Amino acid sequence: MTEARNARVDRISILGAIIGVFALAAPLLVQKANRLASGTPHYLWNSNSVFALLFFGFLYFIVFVLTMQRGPAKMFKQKPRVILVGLIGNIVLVASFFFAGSEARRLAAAAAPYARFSLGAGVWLLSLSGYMLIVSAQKSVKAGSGMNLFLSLSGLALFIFLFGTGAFKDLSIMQEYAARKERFFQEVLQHLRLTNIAVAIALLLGMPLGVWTYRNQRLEKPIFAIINTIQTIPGLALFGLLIAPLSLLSLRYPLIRTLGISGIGAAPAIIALSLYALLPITYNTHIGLKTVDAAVREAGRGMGMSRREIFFSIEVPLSVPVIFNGVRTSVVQAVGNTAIAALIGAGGLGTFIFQGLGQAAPDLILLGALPIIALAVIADRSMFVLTALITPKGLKV
Amino acid sequence: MIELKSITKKYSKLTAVNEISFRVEEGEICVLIGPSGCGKTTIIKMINRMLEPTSGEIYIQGKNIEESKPEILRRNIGYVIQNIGLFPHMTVAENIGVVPRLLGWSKNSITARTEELLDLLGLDPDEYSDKYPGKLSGGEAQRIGVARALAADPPLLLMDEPFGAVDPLNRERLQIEFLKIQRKLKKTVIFVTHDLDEAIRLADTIVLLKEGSIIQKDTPENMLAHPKNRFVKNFVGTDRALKRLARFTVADYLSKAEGLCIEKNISQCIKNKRDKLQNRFLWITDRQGRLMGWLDIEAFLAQDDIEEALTRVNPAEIALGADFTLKEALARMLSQGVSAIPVIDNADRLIGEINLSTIEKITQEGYPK
Ligand SMILES: Nc1ncnc2c1ncn2[C@@H]1O[C@H](COP(=O)(O)OP(=O)(O)OP(=O)(O)O)[C@@H](O)[C@H]1O
Ligand SMILES: [Mg+2]
Repeated sequence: MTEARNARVDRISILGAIIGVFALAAPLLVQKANRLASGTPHYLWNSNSVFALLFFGFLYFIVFVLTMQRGPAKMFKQKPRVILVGLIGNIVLVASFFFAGSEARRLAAAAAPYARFSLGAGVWLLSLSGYMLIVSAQKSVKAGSGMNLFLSLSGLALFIFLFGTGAFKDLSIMQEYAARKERFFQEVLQHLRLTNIAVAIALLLGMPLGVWTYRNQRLEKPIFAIINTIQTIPGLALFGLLIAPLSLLSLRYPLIRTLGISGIGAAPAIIALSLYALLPITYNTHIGLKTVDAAVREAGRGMGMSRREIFFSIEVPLSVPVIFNGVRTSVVQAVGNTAIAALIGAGGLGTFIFQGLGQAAPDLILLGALPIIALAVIADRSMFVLTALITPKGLKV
Repeated sequence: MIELKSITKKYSKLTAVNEISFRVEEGEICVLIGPSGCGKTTIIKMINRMLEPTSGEIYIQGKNIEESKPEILRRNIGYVIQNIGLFPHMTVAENIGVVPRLLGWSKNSITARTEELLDLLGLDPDEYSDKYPGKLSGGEAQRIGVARALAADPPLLLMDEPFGAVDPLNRERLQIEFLKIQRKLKKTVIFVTHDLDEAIRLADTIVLLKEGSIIQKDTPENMLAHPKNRFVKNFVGTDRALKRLARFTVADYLSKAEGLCIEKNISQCIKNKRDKLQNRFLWITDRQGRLMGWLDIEAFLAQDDIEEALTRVNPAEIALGADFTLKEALARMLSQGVSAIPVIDNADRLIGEINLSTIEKITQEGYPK
């Protein structure tokens, strides 16, 4: 875990700010006559929104000042500086989309009815810049603290709020969204459902497996060999591998068919996803238990604790942070992996990605990809907070 | 109280403990000592059944330990493990309360007991109860380790190098405190160390081991005076006369100290006493009897100026407490180049002095007392 002791604005934020300054020269929007036509770029500086240019310029100026170790910035302590940089990162992230949205609205009023405005390189570079500022700030803020969470999620929350108010509605990605609003929420839910079930299964399997391999040293090698191999099978191949046996089973046994299990759809997807999620959970459970200080375990035994008491009141609490780190990795991976599930008809946000790929419609791809990124960030952060909450107090130095 | 009968422990090829028998009486401290790997920890762990002997029997209060369930047996034996092993996720109070909790004590009696033990070990309960082991110094952690072993007031205490991980100065302080506590509690203690000075200071009986066998089992005095063979002789070293001094405490060999209160009419007193004074120096105290320094009588008589002849000192630096050993007293004399050291009580009051001649006499006698 990162420590807040040497809080300092670091190089990542300087790099982020430099990227951001260059981004101001990149196209903010690309206007197309229709979905297939080639586009004309719109830049920040020749938009009416000179204000936006000044706004970003001002923010990056502050970041540069804050990174200086002498001069006027010396007035501020390191900690507030770091937090300010993180805050600016969040603002940049949201503002880039916001200005693109408002610029699109202004242009749309004057343009032909089927004109489309997609996000230009400028928006992506600005988001990258904002993200780098956030990451750089976060490293210096205590993991799991309220401030850390605020820095992680405030931009995202504001983004979702603006999305609700329709600030982005003239962007082409939102037109894709407007055309399939109901479907979108269904797929978000389906995505969450697949991810959650898969992780739940991986937990139920992985934790006992981790305990088991820890208790039987002889099993360690073969079991991890298997789980590691699964991890290296490419995603699609694993889904494919499951189609044949599951189809066979459902054809052979009507009972299985009535349960809704067949070669394609949710069942193979969940199986594959939980197999993928298995490794980090099993491995971290195993390692977490293994790294409990032998002297502490001995002490427990010497005090007259039973095996069960040693397990629940010593081994588990002491390995909880490590185990939860594994769970976090699994969850974040699963959110991403679930995108592939769409390929075998299980649904989820991957549906839009693969439709978009099929139709060469980048906006549709984004409609699938952006929410996946948001979900991954939210999952990651909430697991961090949960881990911090559940870590025994004496282990936090 | 506890008796080991021809205990042997074999690991595939190696015989870690070989046909060992000894008994420890109620209230005694028996110290197991020997080079690293000689089987000390193995013996300790067989006593609380963390290891099963290959052959032989162990009786505690006349009962074969194999008749008790291991967990139950262990809850009734205090155990300080070699690496302390405090539970890092539990507070100091929770650590101490582990065995009482296993025994099903009520919450209130556990709290009361914890505070009592912290007091006993010289740690303020208000300050330490809620601390986590990660924040303790080495010496504090060792004390908590001992407190945890004492928690359920077991009659038998197994201590595996309990003061191993602290610097020599702190270790000495811990030993003195432990002896004080032991005088009060009268536990039967089996204590492992590979520090001979520690063994000599604490033991009623020393069991010297080598490669799993007992080489000599004796009182510290006897072991130092009559080493059984070359191995023991080498082990106790050429300075055994010096080492033996660690068996004697200052309190038992105090001489009366000539001390004068500075408030009195000192010049007159000295002049009156002059003929009776044998030493050139005289301890000077304040009205409460606290040591202030010493007076060079000759210098005083020559100049008749008290301040000129008086050397003021910090009592803690120059004087000894009554529970120090003669070995420390001698070391102090040699380092300061003096032949007498003042002895003070807890409030810095002069209670006597210890003389080089006394120490010499003891080293010459075979066995005093
Ligand atoms: N599980 C084991 N398997 C094989 N040999 C062991 C095992 N445990 C201990 N031994 C060996 O038994 C011997 C006695 O070990 P023990 O731990 O009792 O020594 P010790 O006297 O406590 O040493 P130290 O002073 O280093 O703590 C050593 O040679 C050790 O290597
Ligand atoms: Mg040992």
